[in-house]
Amino acid sequence: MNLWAVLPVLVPLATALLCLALQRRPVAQRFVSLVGGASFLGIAVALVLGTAGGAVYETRLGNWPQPFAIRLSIDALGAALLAVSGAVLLALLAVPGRGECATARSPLVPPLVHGLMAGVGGAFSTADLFNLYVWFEVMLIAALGLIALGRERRHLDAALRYLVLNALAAVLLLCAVGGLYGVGGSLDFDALSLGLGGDGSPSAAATALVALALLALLIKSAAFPFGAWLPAAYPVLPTPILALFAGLLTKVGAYAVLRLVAQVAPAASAPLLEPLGWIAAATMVTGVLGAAYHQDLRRILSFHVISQIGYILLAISLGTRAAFAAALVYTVHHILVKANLFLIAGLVRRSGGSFDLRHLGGLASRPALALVFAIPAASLIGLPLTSGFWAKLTVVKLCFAEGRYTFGVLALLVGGLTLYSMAKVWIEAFWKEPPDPYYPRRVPKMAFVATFALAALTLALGVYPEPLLVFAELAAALGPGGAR
Amino acid sequence: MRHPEDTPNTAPNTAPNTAPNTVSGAELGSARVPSPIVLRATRILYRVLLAAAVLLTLRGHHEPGGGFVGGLFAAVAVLTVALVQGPKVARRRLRVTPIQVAALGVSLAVASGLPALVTGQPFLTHTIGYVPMVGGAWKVSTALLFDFGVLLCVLGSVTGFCLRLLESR
Repeated sequence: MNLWAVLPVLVPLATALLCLALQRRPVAQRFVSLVGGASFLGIAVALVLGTAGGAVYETRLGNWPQPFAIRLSIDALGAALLAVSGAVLLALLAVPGRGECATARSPLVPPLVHGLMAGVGGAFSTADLFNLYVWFEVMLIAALGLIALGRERRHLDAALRYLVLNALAAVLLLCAVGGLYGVGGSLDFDALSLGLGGDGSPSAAATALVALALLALLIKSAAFPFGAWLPAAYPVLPTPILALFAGLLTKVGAYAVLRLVAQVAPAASAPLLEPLGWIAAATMVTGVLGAAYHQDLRRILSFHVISQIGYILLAISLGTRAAFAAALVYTVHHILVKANLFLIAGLVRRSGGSFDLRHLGGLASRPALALVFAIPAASLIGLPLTSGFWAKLTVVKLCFAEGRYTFGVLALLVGGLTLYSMAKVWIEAFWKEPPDPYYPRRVPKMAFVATFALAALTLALGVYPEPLLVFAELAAALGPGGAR
Repeated sequence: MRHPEDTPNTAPNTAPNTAPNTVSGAELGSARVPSPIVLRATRILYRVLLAAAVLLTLRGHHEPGGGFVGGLFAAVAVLTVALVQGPKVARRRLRVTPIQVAALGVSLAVASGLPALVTGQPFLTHTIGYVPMVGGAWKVSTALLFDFGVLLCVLGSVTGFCLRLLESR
């Protein structure tokens, strides 16, 4: 038990350090990096299997007694998210080739990627509010390094935008954490939950502080109106790293919102769920409108990240156990699909020579590329037989069941607009005559392995969603007060 | 009191030649050449600050202090050299790159938590041992390793940032 709970942090951290030591030996570094990624996935899958049987992997760092120790606790929710993160990590590490720009070739990329994963692993394992903040900082530092690695003006510009909003969020979160400690008397999720009044009537101060923490986490998850940093910062990254960012970073923010609302402060956050729902709706709509407007594939997909975050937050804002389960299902689906779409954007660039829809065309003559794009695209829209169908269906169904007809209709409408924007990509990049007869070029088969694996996972969850839905139902029973 | 080297006729650009272990103005890449007094003071200060860094780290075991403050002191020591003799000399003093210093620090900190895992205790559970040495039994613990890891990590990151800033002038 003591060992398993720290592995999601220790393994990526050790991999990062080894990769740093092997900076001058690219082959060995790539090998260590792949082994580290595969071990992370393996551990996460083992944790999922363990937690599916009802186990919770816990450890108190430093063996301090309960009120002082930082507790790492991996329950079904954390394990599920660790597993999809591991799948995405391994997929992007498996993408061969030298990458499309100087950033991708830097020997500092693998250490920073695994450093980021240590932050992600820590955030999904911890049961301590201040420790959660620390893992956000670890992710911020690693992400900032990855953005700034390009060293050109546009990279530094993106890094600055990313830093300003995320550092602001970090400060707000730190203030909220300090305040919650003052009110609730603990930083441990379970103890704090009791300190804030459990399911009873919380003080106004507790609600205000939870609102502050939610504000910080909403900036981190790029919700409306704080999402401006995301489409500004993401497109300067090379696509494999972009896949990691888009798949994981904002989702950790959404995960923290879920923890806070469902486990730490269910009563104190109850009056905040209504505004959260409207913020979620606005996030869905503005994100998809941005995606419908833009022509650069990376920007389109970045705006879709924002739009999909809206769905997750919408599910959380419904505030029931079934809704929390729906949020988890949606997050799992979204991480797999979004990371895959960004990896495919990289393949589109390799074949078509550009990310810009105006300069692309004729990609339909590459059947493997067309197929591998069609599956996650259909899943993003929410067509049947893909994971997106079940994810969207559960959220929309819950909206109507809870009597939130506006939200339900908006969610369907946004689905329609997602269809429009994906159809635009399909028509422009795949059906249109190529503007330059030199394109589309061949892409080596090896480059498709990772994307096909992720697409197969999406399809598998679409055809046979039962295990995921059952597991999510189990995972949504979060600590005291979670099983309302 | 007059220092033998401190004659009024000494031209500023000949001063570095009189002090050992220093670089010439040309290598510094600037017209600014430190006076021998500053150079000598820097050498003393460098050692005093490093000693203070180690003492603070050891003291942090039971009293205010610790690896973080120690790391800042060590960074100030390196940066004093950088300010007086230029970032190039300071980098040579570190011998390895700041990133490597920080990585070594994190490695030490992580390694200090591993013995506990082997014995089945939670990660980072520290053990204390007593080693007989001059002046009685010395207290040695894995927590000390952790603290020196923190020291190196802080030293590496702070000098990494600051040296790059100094070089970008």
